[in-house]
Order: sequence, then C-alpha cells, then structure tokens
Amino acid sequence: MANCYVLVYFPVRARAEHIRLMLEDLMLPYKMDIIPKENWRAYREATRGTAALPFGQLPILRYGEFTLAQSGAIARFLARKYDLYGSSEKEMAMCDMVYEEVRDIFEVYDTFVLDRQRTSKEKTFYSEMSQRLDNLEKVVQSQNATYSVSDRPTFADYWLEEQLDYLLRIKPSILDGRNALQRIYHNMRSRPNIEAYLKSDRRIDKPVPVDDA
Amino acid sequence: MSHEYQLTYFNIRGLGEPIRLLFEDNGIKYKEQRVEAGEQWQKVKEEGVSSGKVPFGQMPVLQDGSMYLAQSGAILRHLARKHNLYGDSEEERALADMMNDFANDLRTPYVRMIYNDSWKEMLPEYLETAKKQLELLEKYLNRRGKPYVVGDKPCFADYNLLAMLDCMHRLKEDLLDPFELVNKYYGRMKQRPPLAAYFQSNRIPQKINNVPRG
Repeated sequence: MANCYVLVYFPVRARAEHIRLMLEDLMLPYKMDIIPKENWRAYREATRGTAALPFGQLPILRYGEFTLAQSGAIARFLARKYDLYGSSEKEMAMCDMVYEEVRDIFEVYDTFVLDRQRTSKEKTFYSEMSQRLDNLEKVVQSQNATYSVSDRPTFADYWLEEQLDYLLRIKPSILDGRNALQRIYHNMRSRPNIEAYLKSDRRIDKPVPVDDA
Repeated sequence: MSHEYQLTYFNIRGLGEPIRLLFEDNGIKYKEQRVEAGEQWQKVKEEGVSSGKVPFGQMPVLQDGSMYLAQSGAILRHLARKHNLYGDSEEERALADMMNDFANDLRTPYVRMIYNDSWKEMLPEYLETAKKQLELLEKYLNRRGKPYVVGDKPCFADYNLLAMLDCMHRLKEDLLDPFELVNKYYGRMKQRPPLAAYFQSNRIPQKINNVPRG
C-alpha cells in the first residue's frame, strides 16, 4: 500500500494551502485531489455524511484508510507527527493561539473579499485588520524568534505566511511597520523547499475564487 | 506546587462554557474573573492588550502561572494536554481536533443568528441548518460507535460539543429529538455527576449570550 497522503480541496488556496506547504516543506509524498467547482455539487451529494466527507466540507486528508476532515485537525495531525508543534508546553499553547487567531483573520478576510459590495465595507475591514495585526505583531514580537513561536517553524507559521500573503495581495502596504510579521513572512518563504514550491507550477495562485484578490 | 487557573470571560456561557465544563467535569480548581460587557470590558481590553494579559484583545483568556493564553481552542487544547483529555492514540487525537472544530462549526451559524436583531426572521433558516448539521453528527456517532465523541471517555471536544448542544436544546427543546444517538450523547454528557451538579449550581452563568435571548 502506497504511503501517500491525499489532500482533497478546491482549486484555490483558502483553507488548505498551508497544509500543502507543510507537506512540501517536509518533502512528504502526497497527491492533490482537486475538485473543480462544477464537480463539487455531485461530489458532495455522493459522499456527504459518509467517512469520505463527514461534514460535507473540504479540505479532507486521506492516508490509507484514514480520513480526516477540518483543516485545523489536519494541520495538527501533521504537526504532531512531524515535529512542527514547538518544543515545550508553552510553545504548543502559543502555536494553537497563533493558529486560531490566523484562522479568525481568515474568516474576516474571506467574508470581506467575497462580498460583492466590499468597497463600501473597506473602512471597517481595514480597521479591524489593523487592530488584529497589531495584536498579532505584539505577540510574535515578544517571542523574539525566527518564526512566530520559536526558531523552528510550527504549523502556525504556514497558516500565518499564507494569510499574510492573502492580505498583501489586496493591500501591499499592510505589513508596513509590522516588522516581526514581515520577518516571519519572509523567513517562511525563503525556506528552501518552500521557495522551490512557490516557484513551481504546482503552486495555486488564487487565495479565493474571485478575480480581484 | 499548587496553582490555580484563572479564566477571564464575560458573565455568560458563550465561548467560556466549554472551558468551565472541562474544569468542572475533571474536578480542576479554577478562579474566574467575570467581566461585564460594555465599559468594564473596554477597560479590561485596553489594559490587557497593553500588558499582554489579554493578548488579542479578546476573551476568553486563561492565566496559567505566568502564561496568558487567548483563543478558546488554544485554551481547551492546553488544558487537554495537561489533564490527559486529548485521546489515547494518534487517531483519537486527530478526531478530537476534528470534532472540536465541528462543534465550532455548530456555533458559527447560531451566533450569527442570535446576535442579529432580526433573529426571529432568521430562526427558521437557522433551524434548517442546525438539522443538517445534527444529521451529520448522528451519522458520525453511528460510524464511530463510541459513548463519547472520540472514545470511551470524554476529551476536550466533548465539552465544546456539550456546550453547543445545550444552546441548541435551550433554543428549541425538541431540536435534538429526531437524532437518537445525538440525544443519547447529550443526556450522557449532561448527566455525568460533576456536570449534573454544575448545571444545578449557581456557578453556571444564567445567560448564554451577550444578548437577552438564547
């Protein structure tokens, strides 16, 4: 039996690309099972509520007979297995804290960027982003490390790098003055396997399925 | 060395309740700072962001010694690691994470509805969403075939799930009835002696949300 992970997702980055970055950085054998938009309905109807798609949502990770749903569960499963969860009780807690905050930021970003009337909501959005990024900057700054929690990457860093990238695409100046976040963003992207992946044709471009983000 | 955890949150159930349920069910001593929404919270938030005691300007926050931990998912997992509430195998740990986040997915549409002033108009659609989610939970419990959401004893995800099922039950008393395993699971959790006592006690916040409904 092939020991290969299969990551099932849509043809966008959104909630799954950070998992893919982990797989790439770890050089783990994996396959993407990308469900195009036009096939999603049929796929969901066929598998929703079964082990293959327990909650009718993607991403899904398959490994042999084991199927796991929920991006946070998948990221943590890999993090525990491949030592990307920090090296102490405190670091583990910090990983979770940063990861969950990045997820909250994603939800706000996702709602905003998919909104057809988003221009009228820009002020509120950037005001909230500003606060959240300031708070995040403060927390990672206090860790005083190469990455957000320690001098080795953790699963939180892959999500952080991606979410910061999503924001930079819509506002290139958003990390101005946020030096710790900038540093971590660049440190992640310059890790050799990540750098190679970002240049490759495996890399998906779009964070979310809209043309202007 | 004995020390006490301190939980800082509003005087509501909300995102704090899974943490309280975890403490109560496992006989873990804890202190609380319950903060009133509005002026008191603004003050606590401002001071807390500055001092690092409210790291992301949000609650709940758990103080564990010199560490101030934000994000309910981080708090639950930290306590789970410390008190052996994270399952007993690689598979169980993964499922614990999955089911905790599923419980959060139950919370999202509920919160969106209940905090909206037009909640009554939103209620029928929310109930449809809730039924679909409960159907998926029923199927999962059937496949898993365990008394608790991951295994033979509760893990941190069970407390998150119990808190949400209780919200849903309070909203509509017969909402869980069509789902046999969900209903049995809800009863099993709620009737665990420490939790049964807690639900009857004056420690449990009377309000679920920061609005006068739910």
